[in-house]
Amino acid sequence: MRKSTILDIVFLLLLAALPLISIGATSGPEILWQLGFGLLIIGLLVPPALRLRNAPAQPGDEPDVGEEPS
Amino acid sequence: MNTIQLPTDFLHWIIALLPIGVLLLLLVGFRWKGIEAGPTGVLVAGLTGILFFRTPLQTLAVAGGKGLWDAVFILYVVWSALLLYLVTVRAGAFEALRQGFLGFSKNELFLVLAIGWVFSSFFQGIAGFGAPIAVTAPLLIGIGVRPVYAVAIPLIAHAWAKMFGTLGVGWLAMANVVEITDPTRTTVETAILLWLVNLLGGLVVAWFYGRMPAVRHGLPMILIISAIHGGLQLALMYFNPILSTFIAGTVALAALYPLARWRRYAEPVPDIPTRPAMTDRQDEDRPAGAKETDQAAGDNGMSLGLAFLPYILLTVLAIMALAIQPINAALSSFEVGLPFPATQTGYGLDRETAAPYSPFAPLTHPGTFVLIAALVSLAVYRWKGCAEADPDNQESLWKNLVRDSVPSSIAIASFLVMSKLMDHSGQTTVLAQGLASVATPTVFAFAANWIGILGAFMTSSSTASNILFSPLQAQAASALDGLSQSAVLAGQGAGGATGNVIAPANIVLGSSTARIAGQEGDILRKVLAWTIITAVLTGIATIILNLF
Repeated sequence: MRKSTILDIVFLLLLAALPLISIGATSGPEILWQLGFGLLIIGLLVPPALRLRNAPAQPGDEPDVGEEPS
Repeated sequence: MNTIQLPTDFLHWIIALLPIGVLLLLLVGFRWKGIEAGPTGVLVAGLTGILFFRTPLQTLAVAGGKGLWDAVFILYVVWSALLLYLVTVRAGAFEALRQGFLGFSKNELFLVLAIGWVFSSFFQGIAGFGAPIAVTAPLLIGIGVRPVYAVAIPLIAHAWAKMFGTLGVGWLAMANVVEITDPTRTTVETAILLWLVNLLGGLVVAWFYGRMPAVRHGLPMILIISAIHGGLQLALMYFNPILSTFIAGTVALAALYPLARWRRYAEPVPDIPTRPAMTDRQDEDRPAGAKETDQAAGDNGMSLGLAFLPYILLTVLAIMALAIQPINAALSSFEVGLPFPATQTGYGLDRETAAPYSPFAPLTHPGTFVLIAALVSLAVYRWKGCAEADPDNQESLWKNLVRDSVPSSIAIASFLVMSKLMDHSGQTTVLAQGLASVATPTVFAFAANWIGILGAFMTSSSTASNILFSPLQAQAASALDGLSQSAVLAGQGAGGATGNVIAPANIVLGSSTARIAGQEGDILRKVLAWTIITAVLTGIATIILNLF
């Protein structure tokens, strides 16, 4: 899977976590905030994991915006 | 009611410092990108919260949710500013803008100071949330400034305007959380410290451009503009602190016209051997977009008026919506927000229920003005047939926007989540209380602005820093004999403004709009020395203010 696609999914995970945590923690059920917190943690684990997995960067990986390929 | 018994021993202070230390080490030492270092900082902050500050998982979850919500305020500007950038770059407007600026003055240093210092400060007077950086960084690149400097210059140069900018929001926040014994004296002393920050900002912009020869060449302009920015703001403290930065910024903007007519600043800069901040037009050290612009523009026939259209729209919209009180009141009445429950830690640190938490007023948010300016400009450029000046660029505008915005959005969200985790677990309070507990009045006066810097670094907001730490500063003033409340609150205000310069979320915002994502460490290295020097001088000035 392309790095940009993975980051799009991470962004969606963070977006989904926000209402789940708010609703779940305020009015329940508890499983909602737990799910939201889980999505938040998974989403935030991915970018450092990509860094560690891709060091050195794999050929064909798209550079981030404005970044020259290394 | 629970008693707060946060551990403020040295070990816990060091542990509370760990997430910030890891973040800085990864960004500066290992040159990790913001998108990689930010989430790692969150994980460290979460672990230290659980293991050493007795923070329940639900408290961490609520803090994480609030951090994500805080990010919405900045991401709205980032996405809108990137859209504006893409619209203008695809239309080839930056080359027309460059020609227009060169018609105003052929003096590069004058233009760098005018755009990077005067225009960004003017814009901070009415709109915040990073919009001044997002708007001016691409303009600086357009006139040939290297991208890393194009971010560093407005980051530093508009910092002075943070406290009383955005129509005084930083000051209003401070006054809201602290019972200020002498408001006029506090605002006057804050303005004195901010004048220092302003002057140092102007000087460093010239230094970036061409070291000492550039400082000597730019000194008359720097002194004139700083007298207007700092002096007028100081004078206005006796009449209207809320509008002081806006008025000072507007007068300084108007002063550019006579300055540009002065032969010294109308003609090219003479005898400056090295210009570290500038790049030749053919130089490869420019973002892809700028190079595309050069190729696309030139013969696409865009008039100067059309090229300036987004920025004129942006300024008019912001002034109408924010500075005209009846319009502002009507627009700001519409707010949206999410509720969050009360939280607490095992050490008794409470955070109250928020329903809604930090409501978002989209109609008065700078992101809306930038978005409208971008959409109207896109419509006009399409109508004029110049929306796509580069026929080889087949990627959809919206696809391009998502590809450019997502990495920086994740980074910014992670920094704000980390900030909230540290706040709700008590780590931020421990850091500040640790500093306060070992201080004499003189040492605390010196440290007051460092605490403000810490708050702004953590939250990427001078207003949030004031809300977070002004009560602590006021408590210290009442507990320590010989410590003036007005002096330490002034230090807090100046520190909150200065700390924005090194705030990771602001740096990522700048790097994304300058299209150099991943070079956050390089930007941080450029601005760090200025921040430390400014903090030391502001600390000394605060000690002097405390003596009177």
